[in-house]
Amino acid sequence: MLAYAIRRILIAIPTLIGITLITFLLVRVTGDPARFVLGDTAPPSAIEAFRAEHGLDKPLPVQFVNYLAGVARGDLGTSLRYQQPVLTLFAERLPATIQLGLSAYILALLVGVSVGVYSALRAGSPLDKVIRVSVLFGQAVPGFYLGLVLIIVVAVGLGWLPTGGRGGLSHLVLPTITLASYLVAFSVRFTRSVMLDVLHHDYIRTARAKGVAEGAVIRRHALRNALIPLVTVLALQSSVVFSGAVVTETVFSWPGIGRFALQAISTRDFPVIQGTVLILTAFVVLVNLIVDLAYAYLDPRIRYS
Amino acid sequence: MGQHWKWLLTGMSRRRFVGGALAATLLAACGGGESTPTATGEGSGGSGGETAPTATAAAPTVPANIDTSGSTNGGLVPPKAPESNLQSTKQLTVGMSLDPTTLNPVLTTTAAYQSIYAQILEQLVIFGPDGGSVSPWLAESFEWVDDTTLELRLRQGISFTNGEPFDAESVKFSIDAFAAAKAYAFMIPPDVYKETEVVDEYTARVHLNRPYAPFIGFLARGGAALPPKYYAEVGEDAFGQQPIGTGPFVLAEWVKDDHITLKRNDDYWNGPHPVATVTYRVIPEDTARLAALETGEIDLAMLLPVSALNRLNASDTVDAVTHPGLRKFALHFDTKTGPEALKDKRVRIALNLAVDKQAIVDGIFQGAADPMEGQWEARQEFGFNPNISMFPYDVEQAKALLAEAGYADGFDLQVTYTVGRYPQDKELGEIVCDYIKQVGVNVIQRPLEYGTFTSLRQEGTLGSHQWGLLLPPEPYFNYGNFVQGSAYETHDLGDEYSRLVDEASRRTDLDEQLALYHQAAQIMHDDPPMLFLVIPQDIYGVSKRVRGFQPRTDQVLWLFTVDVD
Repeated sequence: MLAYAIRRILIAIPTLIGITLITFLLVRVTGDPARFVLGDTAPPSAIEAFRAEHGLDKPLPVQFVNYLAGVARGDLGTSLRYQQPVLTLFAERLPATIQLGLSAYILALLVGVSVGVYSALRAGSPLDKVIRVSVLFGQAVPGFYLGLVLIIVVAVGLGWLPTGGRGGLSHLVLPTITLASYLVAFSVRFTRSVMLDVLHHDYIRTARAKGVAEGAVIRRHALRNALIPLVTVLALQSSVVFSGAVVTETVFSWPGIGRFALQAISTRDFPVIQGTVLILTAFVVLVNLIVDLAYAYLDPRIRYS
Repeated sequence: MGQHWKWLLTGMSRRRFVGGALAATLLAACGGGESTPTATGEGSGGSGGETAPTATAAAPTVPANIDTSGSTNGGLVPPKAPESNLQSTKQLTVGMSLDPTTLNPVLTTTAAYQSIYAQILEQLVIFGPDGGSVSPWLAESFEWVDDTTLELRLRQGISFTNGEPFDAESVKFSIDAFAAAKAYAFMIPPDVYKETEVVDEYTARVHLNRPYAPFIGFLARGGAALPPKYYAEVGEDAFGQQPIGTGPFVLAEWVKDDHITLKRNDDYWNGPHPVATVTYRVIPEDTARLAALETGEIDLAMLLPVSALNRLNASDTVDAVTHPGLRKFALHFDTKTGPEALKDKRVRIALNLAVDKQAIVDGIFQGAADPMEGQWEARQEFGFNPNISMFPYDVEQAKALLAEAGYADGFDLQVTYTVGRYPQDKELGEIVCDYIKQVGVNVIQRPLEYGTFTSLRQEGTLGSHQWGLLLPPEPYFNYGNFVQGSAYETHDLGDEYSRLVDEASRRTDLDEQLALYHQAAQIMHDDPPMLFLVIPQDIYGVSKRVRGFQPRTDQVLWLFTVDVD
């Protein structure tokens, strides 16, 4: 398995370089960052000086190689807007995103599993149908829309929760619901279908035949088997969480990396865009690798060669 | 309404102007901060420029808790606050759309950032709220000794919050830093500044290499007092993260992308501020910023979109406050590479007559904008020429002029405009193109994302384009952009225009300066290099518990007069 892991890591390197190259070229298609950073009124001489100072006047291949060399040294460059290292800026904002992401995951697991199990057990019932329609809604509604509706209804209309910002637990509720809406819906659907599948297995019938109480059959035999693929699949949704964070953090003024990335895009902060995409890509690649390896660990029938 | 009308009326020269905090204090005390609510919407038609210089078209009436006065020279320094303010624990929360990258004024000219550091670092001189005047602040007075020497007399007994004295040495250090700063290069050419001489502890003299009257405007935009020892010790970047000044507040906490907290400077030279804590919350989403205002989470929302007006006006707890802005939307004609027809000034005048500016103000901006009055300068700016009339909306005359110029059947005109860069830029571009079509011109619309827009501009292939330029309210920084060879020149206004503007920049006598700018404005009107469109007003949402809020033309938030219930 070690050899497999090493091979996967080696394969990840060209993936990361490829993603970096695509990001590198895409951001440069969108215009000159000097004008964005220095403003409409900056004289041409200042624009030229800025480009020279940040190496933006060099040919693209040279810029790319310089960037890769920096990355290899652990230097993701300096933000054009903040004039600070990208890694520092990223690290400052990461805890907020982790907090929001984790709470979205917890909500997705709690609600997804309980509602999913209930829906599977009552498959075909009117409530199951309501749940299935609601789930479709949860997966389809855009995050920015849901977020704004929650702000207007819950925060402004009812006055129950703050409209945004990062503070106590009350500040966490609305952004968590917004970010988790897709994950919750996904979890419900996934749990329901896995449970429906598991409940028809022979060992469940055996357990019931042995006289095990129905609650115990669900908890110990069915749910335990259904949870492993759910956790795995949820882990693979980390990219969804990060992309959802861009919208959720902006709507709720949440000071995380999602909003940071969006701000960087709108201000053409090349190093921040490149650095953020690179780090998040690496994270997603890593999570995928861990999930694959965990599969082999959890299921002895799986062998990697 | 600029203070300049006062000295125009009295004939007093501002060349030797001594601000006088005493007079200011008296005026401020007498004024009560409630005078001069802005007039309601006029300004359409062709005679708008003939009336007395009252403010135009602030559609929603300014509520009583909003101070629109303070446009008197030196009248900006409020009366000294009582020591009893120290007992106050009042809090004020401001919603901002942008998180600052730095709070070092040397590194940035962004108004949104200045809205924070202006409470920490104070200016030597400042623009008045109307943008039409420059008033003393930490400098008690300023005076042009000759064409190249500006003398600043400083307030005494002021210290930075780290204990360093505010004196002529610190002023020399500060002006040296700003004059060399890249961010201010567009305001002060490299050959202008020579040195600052320390005459005595509280007198500094700025020496220029050549006459350059806009230096005072440059000082009003930059020109904050920096503590030399601390600044040199930590460097410009670290200073931007932990600035120290002489202002009524000190930086207490900065959580990136979330909030910035300022605490009261108990030893402030003009008495302790009645508000103990000011928190700036970064809320980039307009709807969320408005929602936070409605729920009372914030007391003041900066620069809201037009779409917020209805909600604000319907609210019981919040007021909508509009203020004449300076972002000037115009369709700049490219007569150098554009169609032959544009070379004929009758065609450019015809296009100016073809667009109903007032309908645009009422429709797209819901009344929260002012039509440009046939010239670049806004009514509240110093360089505004009141004798110039706005181009009226007159389709028949426009068609007649086009026919006279030989274009009765129209011509092809490509119009490029930004999309999503400025509020309502796309809608404005579309409707302007539509108006132009109605006089028979075949308009080819080219809406562009700003990145591409600015790239084409740099390449010189943008052609005729609509954009919203925001420049500091110093006339030279405005008129100077259209002289021959300048960055924004898309049409040659001729030698005389360039000569007048250059001459004006050398005159420190404001009467002479103004006369020259008026002539330049007339040339610009008679041979319009652009289709003068509209200037959107700035929209603020202000909680009713806030008193003394004074919106400013330069969009900088000054809390000196603000209190909360």
